[in-house]
Amino acid sequence: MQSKTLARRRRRQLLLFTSPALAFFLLFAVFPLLSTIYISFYQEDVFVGLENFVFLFTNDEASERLLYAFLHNCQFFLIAASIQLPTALFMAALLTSGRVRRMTSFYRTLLFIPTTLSVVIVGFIWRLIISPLWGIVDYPLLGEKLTALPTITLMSVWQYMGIPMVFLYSALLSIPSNIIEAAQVDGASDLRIFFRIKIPLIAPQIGIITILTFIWTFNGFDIIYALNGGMPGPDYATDVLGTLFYRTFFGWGADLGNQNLGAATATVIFFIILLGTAVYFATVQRRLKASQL
Amino acid sequence: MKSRSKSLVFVVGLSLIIPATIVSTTAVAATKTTLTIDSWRTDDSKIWKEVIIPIYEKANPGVKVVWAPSPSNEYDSALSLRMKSKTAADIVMCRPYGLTKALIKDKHLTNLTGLPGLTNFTKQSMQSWADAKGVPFCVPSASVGAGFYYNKNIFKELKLTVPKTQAEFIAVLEKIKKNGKYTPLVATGTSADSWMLDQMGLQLVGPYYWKGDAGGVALDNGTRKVTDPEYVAAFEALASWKPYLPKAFSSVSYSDAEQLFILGRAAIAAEGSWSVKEMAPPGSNVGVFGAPVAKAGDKPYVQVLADHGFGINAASPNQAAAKKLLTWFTTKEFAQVYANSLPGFFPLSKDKISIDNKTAQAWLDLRDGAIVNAPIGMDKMNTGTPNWFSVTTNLLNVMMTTKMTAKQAAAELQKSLESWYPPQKKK
Repeated sequence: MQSKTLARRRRRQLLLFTSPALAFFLLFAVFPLLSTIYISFYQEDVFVGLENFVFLFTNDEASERLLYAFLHNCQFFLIAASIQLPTALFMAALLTSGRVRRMTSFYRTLLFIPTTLSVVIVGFIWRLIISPLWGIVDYPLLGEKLTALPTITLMSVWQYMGIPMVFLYSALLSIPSNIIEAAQVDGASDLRIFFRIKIPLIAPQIGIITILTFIWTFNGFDIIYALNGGMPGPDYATDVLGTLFYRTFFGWGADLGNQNLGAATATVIFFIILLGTAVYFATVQRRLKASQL
Repeated sequence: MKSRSKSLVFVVGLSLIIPATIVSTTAVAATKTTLTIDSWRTDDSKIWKEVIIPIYEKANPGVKVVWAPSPSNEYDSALSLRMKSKTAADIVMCRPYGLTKALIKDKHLTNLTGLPGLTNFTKQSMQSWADAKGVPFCVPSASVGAGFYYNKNIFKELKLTVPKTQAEFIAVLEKIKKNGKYTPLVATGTSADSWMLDQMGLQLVGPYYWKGDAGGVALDNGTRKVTDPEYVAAFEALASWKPYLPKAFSSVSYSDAEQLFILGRAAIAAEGSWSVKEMAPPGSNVGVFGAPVAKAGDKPYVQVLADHGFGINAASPNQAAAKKLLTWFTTKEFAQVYANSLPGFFPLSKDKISIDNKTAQAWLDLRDGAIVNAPIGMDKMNTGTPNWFSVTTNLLNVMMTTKMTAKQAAAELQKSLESWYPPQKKK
C-alpha cells in the first residue's frame, strides 16, 4: 500500500519534471515531423496518397537526382568519418597524454575555434585559399567533378573537428588514473595502454560520434549551399539530400518550389537516417558497452 | 488569497493592455500609408533609399515607402511562398516571364488595365508581364543588354581593333593569347554562376545562327529542334571561346571574372550592361562591343532583356496608394532618375532619356540599327520540369569546363525537352 502511493507519486513527479522538455520536444520536433509526413501525401491541397513518392522514385530526372544525392551523402559520410574520427582521437589522446606539457588548454581552444565560425566564412576563406586565381592551389578543386565533393567534405571536417575532439578529450579525462597507474606498474607501454585500456573504455563515445557524424552528414546542407548554392555543381556533383530537399521545397533560380514534393523528399531523408541509425544501434552500439570498472 | 491574486493578475494585465492600445491607436492615426517594395536587387538599396524614394515621398507626404529586398537566388521561391500565405509586400518586383506568369495565373497580382501611364510603353515591352490575352500586370521598368567590355589600353598596346565578325573576334583573341601577357577573354566557369554562360554566352552569340526571335518561336512551336544545325552552330560559337578563357576556368566565379577584368589582367569580358559601375568605374578606359556577327555584312542582333517591372500584390490593403506609386514609375521623371542612378539599366518607356554615364550610353548605342531580340526558351519552355533555364545553364557549364562538345550539349538539351515539353515530344 505504502509503496504503491509512493510509486504513484514518483510517477507524477517524473511526469512533472519531464513535461517541459516533453512539451518542447512534441511541439518543435514531433509535430513538424508528423505534419511534414502529412503534407507529403497531398498535392496542392488534394490528397494523392503515395503519388509524390512514386514520382520521386520512378521519374527519370527525379529518381536520378535522389540516387546521386544519396550516394554523395554516403561519400560525404565515409570521408568525414574516416578522417575526422581518427584525427580527433589522435588530438584528444595527445592533449591528455601528458606529452604536451604546456598550454594544453590553449591548444584545445585553438582546435575548437573553427567550430565556432560561421559556415559562410569557412566556405569563403577556403574558397579563396584553394582558388587557382588568388590562392595557393593551381588546380580547380571545386570546379572538377571528381574533387569537388571531397574538397567540400574536408572543409567541413576541418571546421567540425573540434566537436569529436572535445567529446573524446573529456572521455579520456574521465578514465580513472589508478587504472592507468596499475597498468604502468605492470609494465605496459604507453601505446599498449592506449590501445588496450583507453580505447576500450571510450568505445561507447567513439560509437556515438560515428552515429552523430552519420546524422550530421546526412542532414548536411549549409557548407554546400554556402559554396555552391541550391543547384550544387559542377553538374550536380556536390548535390546532397539536403540541397535536393531545399531545391524541391523552396525552389532555386527559375525552378519554383513544390512544398508537397519537398515534404516527400524530407520524409525520404528522415527514413534513411532513421533506418541507418536503427541498424547501427541494433548491431554495433549494443556491443560497445563500456568495460565495467 | 486566491481571488486577490486573480484580480492582481487582471489589473496587471489591464495596465499592460490599455497603454498598448492607446499607443497603437495614436500611432495609426499619426502614421502615413506604408508601402513596402520587395525586390531581388539588394545591390540597389542605397539608391532606392537615398535617391528614388525621397523624391516620391517629398511629392506625396502621406506615403511612406519601404524598400525591403530579398537575395536574388531566393527571391522567386520566397515571393511565391509569401504570396500564398498573404504576407508579401504591397509592391513586388516582377521577373520577366516564369515567376510572374505563375503569379498571374494564381491571381496574386492586381490587374493594371487602365493604369494611367501604361500607354507610355510598347506592347512588346509589356509582353513579359502580361497574361495570355495581353492584360498587363506589371509596369515595365528596366531592360538590360549583354555584350563585351574591352580594355582599351590593352587593345592599344597590342594594336588591336574592335572585332566585328566571329572570325575577327577569334583572331583578336588569338593575338592576345600569343602575346601571353593577358587573359584574352573572361566568362564564368563555376556552376553556381552558370546563368552567365546562358545570358551572356549562348543567348548573346546565338541570334545570328537561329535568326533572332524567329528561332525561339520555332522551338516553342516544335517546328525545329535544338539539334538542328542553326542551334548547334550557336553552341559551337560559344564553345569557340574555350581556348581563350582563364586557366582553371571551372573555378572562376562571376566575381572572379569581374576582378580579372577590373585589375587589367584580362582584355575582354563577356558581361552585361548592368555591371557598368563595376566594370567601367570613372577613370577607367573601357569600351563596349556587341556580339560579333557570323559573317561580314550581316545585320547585328542586339539582345534586349526585359529585366524587371513592378506589380501590385492583390492581397495588399493599399491598392490605391500602390497604383499611384506605380503610375509614378511610368513617368519620364522616374525613368530619368532611374536610368542615371542605375547606369546600365535602361527604361522601357517611349520617352527619350538622356544618360550621363558614357559606358551606359555606349551600351544603348549598340541598339542603333540592330535587330532587337529577346532570349529564347525563357517563356513556354521554362514552365515545366526540368525547365529550359536550369538544364541549359547546367549543360553550358559542363560544355565549357569539360570535353563535352556543342553537339552533345545540344542533344542533351533536346532530350530533356522531349521528356516533357508537348510540342517537342516525339510523335
